[in-house]
Amino acid sequence: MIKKIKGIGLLALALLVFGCTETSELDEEKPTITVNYAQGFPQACAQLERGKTYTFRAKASDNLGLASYSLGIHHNFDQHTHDDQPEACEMDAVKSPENPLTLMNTFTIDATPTEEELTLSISIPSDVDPGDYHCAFSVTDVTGWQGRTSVDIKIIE
Amino acid sequence: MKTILKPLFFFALAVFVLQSCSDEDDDVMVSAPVISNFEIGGAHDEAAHEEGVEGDDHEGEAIAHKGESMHVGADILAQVRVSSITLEIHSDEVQAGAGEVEWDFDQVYTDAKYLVLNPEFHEDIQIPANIPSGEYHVTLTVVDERGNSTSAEGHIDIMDEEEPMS
Repeated sequence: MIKKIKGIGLLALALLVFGCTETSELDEEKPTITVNYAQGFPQACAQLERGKTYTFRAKASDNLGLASYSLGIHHNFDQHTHDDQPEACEMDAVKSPENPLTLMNTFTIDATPTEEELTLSISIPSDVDPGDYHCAFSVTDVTGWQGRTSVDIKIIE
Repeated sequence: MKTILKPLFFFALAVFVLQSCSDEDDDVMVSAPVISNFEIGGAHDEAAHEEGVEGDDHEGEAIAHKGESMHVGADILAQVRVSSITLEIHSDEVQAGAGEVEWDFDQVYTDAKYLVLNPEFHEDIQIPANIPSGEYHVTLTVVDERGNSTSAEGHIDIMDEEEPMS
């Protein structure tokens, strides 16, 4: 009988301790975002024509839930680098911007799914500087971790 | 025997479990955000963009030119969400000459893309054409939602556009 009580007690102890540590466990997993799939857009080194409209597509995923995403385009006339650039594209000469395209759109993701394909229609204005640009996708999970991917693109006349 | 053991055991168990739980909650210390790969560079500062050159290694060599843009970048890691990132650029050494204006740049960034645990700071700053040449201090300050803050400092030599690079 004592053995039985001890057994139940140990089981309860294990459950309680486990339950306790589980609630204080941290989410250490960052969300991911990528354009590396057939429909992903833009692919590295893509050339986008001024005056045209493109549908940008990226896939995001997270262990807990996706909360928001953003898409930014900024010029890379100074040839800076980001933390995620798998391929080197042929670059134009370094130059100073006159009327570069700069945009930053942030959206909330409803119902915090763990996987989502993000699509966004973007028109390239016909009066922006042609040249090298970075297209920066980012996604933020419910904890606050951000995943990013940056794609080198070129805007052409 | 059974009647004594059971309540005693569960009492001890409850005390132990409750104590370990509340201890953990009290111990949640949030350390200040960490700034790494702090990078300052002008458009013509090619050395700063070579792979593997980062942080302290090139801060002293960073060069930018008046009337052009310079970029400031950093990787940030915080334990609670970042609430603001402040960029300050000023010089203690230079004196504004005729036709020149002192440059005292101070901007607070609270863009949604920065209000996360691990933002990548990247801004292009337009350098005014009418400022004195010389060494400028660049300070990046990150504050999190609990009010913890961390600063990183660097410097950049801002030169005339015509001046040949050494």
